[in-house]
Amino acid sequence: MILKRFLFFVTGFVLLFFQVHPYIPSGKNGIRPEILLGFVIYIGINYPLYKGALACFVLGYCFDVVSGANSGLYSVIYLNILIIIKFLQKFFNFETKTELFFLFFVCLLVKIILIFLSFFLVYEYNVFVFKRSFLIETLYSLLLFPVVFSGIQKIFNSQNTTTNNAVKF
Amino acid sequence: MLQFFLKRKRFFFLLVLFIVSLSLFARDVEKRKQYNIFDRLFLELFSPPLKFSTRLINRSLMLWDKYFFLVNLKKENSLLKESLRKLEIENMLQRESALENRRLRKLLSFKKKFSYKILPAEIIGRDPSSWFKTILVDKGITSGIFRGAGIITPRGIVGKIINVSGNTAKALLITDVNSSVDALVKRTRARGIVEGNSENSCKLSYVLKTEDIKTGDVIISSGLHGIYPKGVLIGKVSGVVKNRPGFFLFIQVKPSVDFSKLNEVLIVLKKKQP
Repeated sequence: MILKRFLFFVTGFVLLFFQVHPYIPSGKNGIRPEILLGFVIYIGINYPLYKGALACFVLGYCFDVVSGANSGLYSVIYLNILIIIKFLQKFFNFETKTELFFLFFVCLLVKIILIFLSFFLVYEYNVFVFKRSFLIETLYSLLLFPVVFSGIQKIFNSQNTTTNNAVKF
Repeated sequence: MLQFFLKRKRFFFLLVLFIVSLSLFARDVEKRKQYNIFDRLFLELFSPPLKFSTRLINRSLMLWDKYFFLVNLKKENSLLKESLRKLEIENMLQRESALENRRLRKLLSFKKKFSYKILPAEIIGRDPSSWFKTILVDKGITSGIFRGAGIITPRGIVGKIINVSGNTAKALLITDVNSSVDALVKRTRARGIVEGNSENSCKLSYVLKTEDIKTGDVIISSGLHGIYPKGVLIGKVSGVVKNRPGFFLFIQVKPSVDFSKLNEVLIVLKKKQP
């Protein structure tokens, strides 16, 4: 149990490390793929609601500390994503690649909508300046998602700690 | 009553997390606060591996540059010597102008209020999101860094420190939408505010349509806010739109610093003269 929790935090820590590291290749204008989203999706599928909520809150909080976002923004985003996943789990099992990619798109869309809303309502910015960033980030994240997700699956399945109901990439 | 809460404890737990997140967000929107104890604790744990790996890569790259790229060294050396000679002459002339400036200032009994202390720092992290433009540097309170200190490179202005912990600091780049720098157009001395637009470019706002601004004009810091010294390069005008409603021009600015290739920066620490 302790090893499981340790592994859980180390995984989050390592993924955030890669997300922040200055030598990780990023696109034009410093656009980076969303690596942590894969972990949030894994948590959403495999963990009960309130354990998942706590994990998403902590992950979002840590993300906000190292990013330029206001505290709480990514906590709210990841908690919303978790709720969406739990809702969609009533209709889908997420056992096929198509279902997982569909889920990934929905989660990314939720994230973008919340970021755009915060920019538009709170900061009163013209959100259309971000449209290019949105498209590039989606593309990068899409390319990396199978790698990140299957990596997390391998780590946690080798520990036999979670229900193995997700598809292998 | 207690049973009502116990039955719905998961819902209430989620609700509490939402309320905490939203209140943190609302608090930060109102006024960006300093790092709290949890933030600092997390950064103290998170920054050492980042520092170690960044330094390791930087040193390896430096080693590569030093020992494996000696082929063009001779040619480069002669070019550098030539440019050094030119710079020496320029420096001599500048020194003369500085002396003259000091004499005239004395005559007019002006007093230079501030001098600046420069501290080099390494970039150990970049913003994990694509929407905000910040960097993490390897110097913090222990090195004398404070909130609001300016960050520059020999090529121009980079940004300013927005949060500091013990050994790490977070800086907002001038390309971030939350950033603004008081600026001057070098040729015409027209004043404006350089604001970020999050796409690795900036805009110069509040410049009246009556001003004569051309593409290629150099934008420098005005030095008014005291964050950056006066005359530090910000960028060049890359486009001017005059035919638009309102009193002001729409001026696009290309920053002189290439933020994607930035590894080291200089932190400007204001130091009052005795």
